[in-house]
Amino acid sequence: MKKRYIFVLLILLFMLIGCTEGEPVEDSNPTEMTMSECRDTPLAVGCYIPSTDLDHISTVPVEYLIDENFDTERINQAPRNWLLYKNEEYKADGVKAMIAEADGGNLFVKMYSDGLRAPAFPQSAPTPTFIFTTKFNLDIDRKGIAYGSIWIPSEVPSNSISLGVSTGAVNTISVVIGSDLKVNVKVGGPFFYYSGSGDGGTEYQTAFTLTKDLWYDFRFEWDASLNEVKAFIIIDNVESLLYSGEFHISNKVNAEESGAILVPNVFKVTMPRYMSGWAYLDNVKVERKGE
Amino acid sequence: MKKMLSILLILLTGLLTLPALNLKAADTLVYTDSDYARLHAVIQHVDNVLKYGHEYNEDTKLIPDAINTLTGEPARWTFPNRAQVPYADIANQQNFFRTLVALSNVTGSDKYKNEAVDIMGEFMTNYQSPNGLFYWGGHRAINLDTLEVQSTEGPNGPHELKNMMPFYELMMEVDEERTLKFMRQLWTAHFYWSTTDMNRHGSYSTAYDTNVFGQSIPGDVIVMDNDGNPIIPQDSPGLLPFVNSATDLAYAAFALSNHTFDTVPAEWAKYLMRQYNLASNPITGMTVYQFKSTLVSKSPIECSDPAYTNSGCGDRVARQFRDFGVIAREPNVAWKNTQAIYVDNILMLLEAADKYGVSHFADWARDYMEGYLEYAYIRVDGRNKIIPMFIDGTVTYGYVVPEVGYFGPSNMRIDYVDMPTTYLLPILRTILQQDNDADKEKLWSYFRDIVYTFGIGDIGELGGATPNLNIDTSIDDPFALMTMVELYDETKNPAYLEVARTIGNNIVREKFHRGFFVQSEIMLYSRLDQPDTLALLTLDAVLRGIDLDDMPFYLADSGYIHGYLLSDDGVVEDRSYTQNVIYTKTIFDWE
Repeated sequence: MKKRYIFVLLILLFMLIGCTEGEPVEDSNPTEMTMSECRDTPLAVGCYIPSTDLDHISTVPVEYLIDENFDTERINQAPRNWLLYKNEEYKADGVKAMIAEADGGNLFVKMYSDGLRAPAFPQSAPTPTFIFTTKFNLDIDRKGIAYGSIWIPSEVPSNSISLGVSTGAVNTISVVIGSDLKVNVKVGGPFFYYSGSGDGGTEYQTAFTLTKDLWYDFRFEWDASLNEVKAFIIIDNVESLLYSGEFHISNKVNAEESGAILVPNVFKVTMPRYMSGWAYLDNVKVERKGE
Repeated sequence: MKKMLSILLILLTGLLTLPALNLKAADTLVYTDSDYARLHAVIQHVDNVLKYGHEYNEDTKLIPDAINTLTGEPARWTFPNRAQVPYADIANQQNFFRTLVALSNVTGSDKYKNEAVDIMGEFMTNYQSPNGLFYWGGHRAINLDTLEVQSTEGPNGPHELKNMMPFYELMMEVDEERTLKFMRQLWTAHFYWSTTDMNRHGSYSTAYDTNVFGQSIPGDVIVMDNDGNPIIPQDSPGLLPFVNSATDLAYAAFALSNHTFDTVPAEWAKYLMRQYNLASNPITGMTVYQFKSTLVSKSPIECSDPAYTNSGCGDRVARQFRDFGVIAREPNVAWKNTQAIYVDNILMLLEAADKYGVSHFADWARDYMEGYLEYAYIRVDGRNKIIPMFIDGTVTYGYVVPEVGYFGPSNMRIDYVDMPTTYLLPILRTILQQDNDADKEKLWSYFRDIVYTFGIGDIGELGGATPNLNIDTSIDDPFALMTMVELYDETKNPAYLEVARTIGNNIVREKFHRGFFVQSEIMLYSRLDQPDTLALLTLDAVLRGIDLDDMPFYLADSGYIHGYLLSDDGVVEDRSYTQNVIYTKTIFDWE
């Protein structure tokens, strides 16, 4: 009997020693918790259920065009589908773009810039104050034609103005009408981030000088497969070539000759910093370029 | 004798049966199906990241920094001319590497760690500059279309690490030689031994120096004036010693010393960190973002436009906040970039104190945190806030900035700043690394208020006694989760663990969508550097009884890319960060 007691005592002692090594009580409601069968086999079949293929949307771009004669817009309002750039530093009326009606009933956009402020970037580049844009997409075709009409008014102080197409923030091809009303063509730029040298694109002079109080139509063409950009002026239905050449290096990936051409997706009108005044816009259109 | 034995038997039986009632699970916590559900979500996320990350370009093991959860494609950096670059910036993926290793630890499967090794191995083999720097960080990434190095700053963007704190343990395992070379060159490229200037930017053309730490350590840059105040030199020629870059330099040096048993790099790290300590305000204890101000190197004409914020025009705070007098200097701002000072740097200091024996760093951390919380912490409308001020306590709250500058537009009113949950971990870890309770009490008091205000409940007295936690808290935050896990780990009070489980469940419910962890249901990108999955695995490890010291440790999630890009409107150029332009996109922004 004594031996039996001693045996039981020894067993209990061993149990006690074993228990003193254990952790303190952890679970507040241990009776409500049951051990997961997957604790030790988290990746096993029956525990882990891999995702099925996720239902992702297509990344193929959707192409769309522009056809703006502004005739359905509201007078004295900014036109729909257009973005007029401003930041906190701009005065309330520092830049304006609003619909106006001509004597014959035609609606067009009156544009004003005070020339005082500009976007912060690119720094050290001739960044314009007035930036008025709308977008299109011809990323599959990679070619297209854009039109726009400009009127330089005499009834109010006029301004230098440019209009054309851009790849994002970088000009592709545009016409620049100076305060002397001479017409230049600008290809590419600015691509300041890359060169660090104030690269503002390349500007070409033309033989044309505009007259105030007349509508002038311009046409821009681009074709990435031909590496070609063009600008035309249309006067009395007669089209005159202003410039024809290759895409500027700033329209290529990393501004490298070997880089892929990046096609335009923005129709852009700008007026420069440090000059103030008005100009008018009408008939903006982007259409597909045939074969 | 028989009677005595009987009494003894009864006593022993009583002793054993009382605790044994509860100790059926004493050797391990109960790991429930709910616990497994969280792990299941993490595994699915990781598997999807690996699947879709690898799928994009099968010629590489590299994966993108973030995945578009609507398309499964990589996030892309869009340059001003629309050029789009799907990017892998390995510096920005450190929490994912930690997640992979942690996942192998908790699942017992090597496959996740092997993925980490494979990705890191390809990167280290192919994308280390001859001078030792890796092509990663703030201005360099790998283009996943071409597998070439892409710069976002210019054709030759510099090397820049700001609080990225690479997973050196893994890198050492993958390629020790390349890792050591990088750690040494990090100092050669960023630290100017002759002038003690430090530049956040390092050049890839700086030659590798085999004797990088061979200089003798110079005198301190910071000396005191007659009143005992630090004199901040204003002679830095554009080489601004931002603490976020210094944190990475110091961390690399400590890791290097720890690995090589050469104490000299660690001494340099201590020297560098000491400059920030010396530049701290002696009254408030608050510390600085940089210990030098910049030298004016540009002409007055160039700098006449306040919107031109190049540091060559002088101290940018002095320009924009000149109404505040001499305290208005970039080093002294205590309402912006404070994450770099009071979170990332503190976590590194504490890591160095804990792992590398630099015990006085824990004292510095306490001084900084106590000073900052005492002066700048405030609870407003039931929310944790920071009072905007300079480090001497001069409050800028309510000030309307008269002109545009580096810190924002004109007419900007300086207001309280939300205190993010990221502050929880540095405060807690600072407390836990103090030796005496007396040194813990002040911070614990703030910590208790802050945790309560985040909606987690009352953590109780110092040491974890008598908590009254909000078991149904709605917070879904990884830092709150890691805080509760580490509190539990320290105190073994199960109340913290129960709240941790609630927070973990909240994270999965609120952030696991479309097969990925995202910041919230509507956010477009799943970012690899997000800390949620690592936090969930930390909880999982504790529930399995894995020692937290055996788990990859959270240090930062500050990875970013900075450079020129197309702004959100798609028509003007901007210079910004992935965090501001890309990771803010929602599923409704996707065209």
